[in-house]
This record gives sequence, C-alpha cells and structure tokens, in this order.
Amino acid sequence: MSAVAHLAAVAEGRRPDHDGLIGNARCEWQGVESMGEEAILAMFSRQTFAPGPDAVEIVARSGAAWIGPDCALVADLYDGRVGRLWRLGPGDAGEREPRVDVAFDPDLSQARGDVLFRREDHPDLDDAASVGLVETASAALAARRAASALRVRGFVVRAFGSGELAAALLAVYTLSDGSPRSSQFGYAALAWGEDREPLVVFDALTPCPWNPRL
Amino acid sequence: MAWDQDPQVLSPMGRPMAEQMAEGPRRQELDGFEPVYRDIVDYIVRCTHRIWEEKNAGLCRTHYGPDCLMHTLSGPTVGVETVTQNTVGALAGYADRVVLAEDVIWSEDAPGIFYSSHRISSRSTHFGDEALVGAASMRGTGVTTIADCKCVANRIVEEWLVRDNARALWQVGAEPRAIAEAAAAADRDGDQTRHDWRKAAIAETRSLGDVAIEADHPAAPCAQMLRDGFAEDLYGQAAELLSPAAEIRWPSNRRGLGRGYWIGCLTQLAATLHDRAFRCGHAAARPLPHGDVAVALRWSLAGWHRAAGVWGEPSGRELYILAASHYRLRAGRIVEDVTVFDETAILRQIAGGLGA
Repeated sequence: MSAVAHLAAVAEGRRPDHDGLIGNARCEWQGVESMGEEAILAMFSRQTFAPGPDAVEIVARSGAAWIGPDCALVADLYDGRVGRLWRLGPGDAGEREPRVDVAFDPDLSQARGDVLFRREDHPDLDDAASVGLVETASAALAARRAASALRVRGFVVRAFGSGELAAALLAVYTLSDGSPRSSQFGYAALAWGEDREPLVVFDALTPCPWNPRL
Repeated sequence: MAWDQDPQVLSPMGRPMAEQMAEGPRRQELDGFEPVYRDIVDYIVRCTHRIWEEKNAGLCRTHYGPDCLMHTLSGPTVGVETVTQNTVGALAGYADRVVLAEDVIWSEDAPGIFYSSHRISSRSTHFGDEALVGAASMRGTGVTTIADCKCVANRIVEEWLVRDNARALWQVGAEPRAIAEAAAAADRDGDQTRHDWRKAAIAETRSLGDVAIEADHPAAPCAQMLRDGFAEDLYGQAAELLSPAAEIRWPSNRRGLGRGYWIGCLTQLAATLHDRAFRCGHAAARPLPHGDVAVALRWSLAGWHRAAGVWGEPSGRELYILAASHYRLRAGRIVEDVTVFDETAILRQIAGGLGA
C-alpha cells in the first residue's frame, strides 16, 4: 500500500494494512494531541477527514500531505508508513489540556522576518520549491497580520516536494494587537507548484487564557 | 565505544511494533542477556512490553538488580521488590497502559555495560483508585517519560526516571500544586534523614563537573548549549545550535517553536532560580532514520528559589531538578527538543517537602 492509501484509511478511522500507521504515532489537531494508533483512529472515526475531490496529494520520502480547500493532513513517513500526523481544519477536536505558557521573542533581533526556515532541515525539498513555498508562506502570513495581529510568524516545521508540486507545514505564532494581547500557536498547510495557484489552509484555533505559571 | 557503533541496532523510531517484536538471532554481542533479546534496544523495548503490556510484572525480578537504585525527583527507591510492587500498583490503577517506545538512545560505556535512555509516551485510562490522586477518574492519560537505565547482563542496576507528572495530574483532573503540598506535608513528618539524598544530589550538581564527552561526539555541543544557557546566561549564543524552526516540547505542556521559545523555557526557570549550578550527568547519541542523529542528555540543575515566577512566590529554598533531554539533530542543528522533568516534585520542594 502507498502512503496515500495509508492516509486515506486513517482519514476514515480505519487501520491501514501493513502497519501503515505506526503504533507509536501521534496526531495533533487544534492543539489537541492523540497518542498512539488506537487513539488516532478513534479520533478519525468520530470525525472523518474528507478533503474533497480536488484535494492535492504530495508524497516524498519523509513526508506526505493531503490538502483540500479548507482542511489538510500532513504526515511524517518512515518507509512509507505514517509516523506522525498533523490534522488541520474544522471540527471539534476536543478540550485542550492545561499548559504552562512561555514568554518568548520569536525574532531575537530587530530584523523581523515572517517565515523562519532553514533549508537544511528539509532534505526532500528541492531549491525551486523552497523559494516558492517560503514566498507563499510569507504572503499568507502578511494577509494574516493585516487582520489585526501585531506579530505573525511562521516556522516551517516540514517541507518536501519539487518544483512541480511541494508542500509545507507551518507552525503559525500570532500575537494580537489588542490590549491585553493574546498569543497562540496554530498550524497552516501549503501546497505550491510552478504551474498552479498556491493552496493555503489555516487551522481554526481559539485563543486560550495566558498562563505562564504552574 | 564509538557513539555510532553497531549500526545494525536500530532506533524504534519509524518501526512498527510487529517488526520490533519479531524474534530472531542476535544482532549485537550481549553477554549474560536472555537469548530472546536481539540487541540492547530490543532488550529495553521488549522487556518493557513484557512487564507492562503482557502484565508480567514479576519479570522485574529477572530484569532488575537485587539492590537496584532508582532515582526520581521524588526520591530514590532501592531494591527489586520495590520496583516490582510499584509496577503492580501502577498496573492496577492504569490497567490498559500502553508503552509507546519513541526512542532508545544508548551507549556501551564499557564492555558489557550499557546505558539506555528510553523515551516513552504511555497512554492509559485512570481506572483504579490510588494514594496519590485518590478516586479513579476514568479519564484518559498520555504523558512522556524518559527512563535512563544502566544495564548489565540482563539486569537494570541503576535507573533515573523522569516523568511529566504535572501533565499527568491535570489529565486525571488533579491539581499539581495541591498534590505537591499534601506530599510536602507528609514529607515533613518523621525521620528527616530520609531526604538526605536531595542534599547529596544538590552537592553533586554543585561540585561535580559535567560528564566527560569527547569533542567530536554529537552530544558535546548539546551539553555545551545547556551549560551556556543555565550556567553562563548566554541564551542567544546557546540557542544558535537550534534550527530557527526547531520544535520544543518541555514539561507541563510547554510546546513551541524556534530559538526564542527554547530561550523562554530556560529563562522561565533561571529567572526564579538564583545562584544556579548545572551538571550534565550522562550523554549518548545514536543514528536515526533519514540521516538524523538522536542525542540523549541527563542533566541536573540546582538553585535558590528567590524570585517570583513560574512556580509562584519565592520560597527561599534551594531546589533540585533532575531532567532528561532528547534532541534530534539534522545537518548539525537541533530540529527537535523533548525535555522531561517532574515539575510536581519541584512544587513539592517549594512547599517544604523532600527535605527542602
């Protein structure tokens, strides 16, 4: 079975053949984490993932992405098997766990940059695609910032593919421009190709109370 | 021994359980180990599976030394019968516990003396009543543990166990601070010499230098990074070892990205702990799939709780933290940091427990 078939099975809450979902996999969705195959499949069974007929599939040695108009799945692959998942899109992911928030500066200088990206982190991405993906991410984040955020930064967590078609998973950090400010992490998935319109899906996240203490 | 010796001994990362559990011939010299174990990673993963998932807690008696010393931030335990009984207790309360091996980063520190750092995400249901949190909540749990074990001839002779207990308590509906304060009250009763281990651990952190790590070992820059941060307050310099988009997972659900977030994790602790001392106690590294490298560090931190911050108002007490970090390196930079320590045990010290 291919990685695409494995993802399709998981999306319906079915166990893929040939250990296509590794037992110790974890999946994040709207800040909620499912640990292990059993919990992941239960989550997808409750709410199946259906990106629609026009969804884009991108598969490389180390990763796969399945990106529709308003939802996405991004996976780490090991020999074609799914080892980790990020789900983006609407639905009820459940209650987020309490946490200790951490005060931080995403820039460490006044040379502000929208997208934090290190080329060497992504060996399965070709050079043309890396430029296209970062430009697409930067444009998407700029639009996001214009909608009332003081600060929006994208951390390229995963990226793979070629100039024909490539995908990236961004962790998106937002600091609002209100008073008081609110801060949150979420994800965005991008598909980019030289001869196609870029596709960008942002996860739906609600701000949580700021709690930098235990 | 070289950090990448025995390349045929694979990390569990990316490998299905069925493949890991397949029986077969030895892949590595393991003097004195049961024939079923194919290599040191298999020993760790398979014996954990047999004890926890197959419920054969009695196998602790053949897999731990009679006088094994288990270090936790709540205090040490001694002896195989204590290990066995604690395992049975955990199985009673969390009967469906699944131990998901995320990585085993190991070294052979001398011929036949193995050291493994086993990162586990354990998922379970809180089915049973227990002393620490009370009545069964029937809530699901899932937290990360790192178990560092010194293994000789089929037996774990010393273990350092760190678990994200604050997250575990939240998951079953308990409040870490309340649990810590109750434990601290109990700690203040009775013979206080039972807490002497903590004073000794602080003295060790303050007086012993870092474990020797060869300069070209992948763990060397990682240990230096933590030292530059915690001991020298050179956070920006330290963070240059991380990818700008590194993923950071610290206890109590601290999850973020990038060098600045990592700095934030360190300064959150350092701001409250004055006159700090840092020590790296062990280091190991192993190859990972796709050409990545895994590094395991066990480290400790001591400092005086003299400023308000993440743990509330300053207690004025000297605190001790035992921690383990697993790093994933790619092309010379850290792309993932999973750090674990028991933050509930820190609150317990702040509340005057554990002899603090």
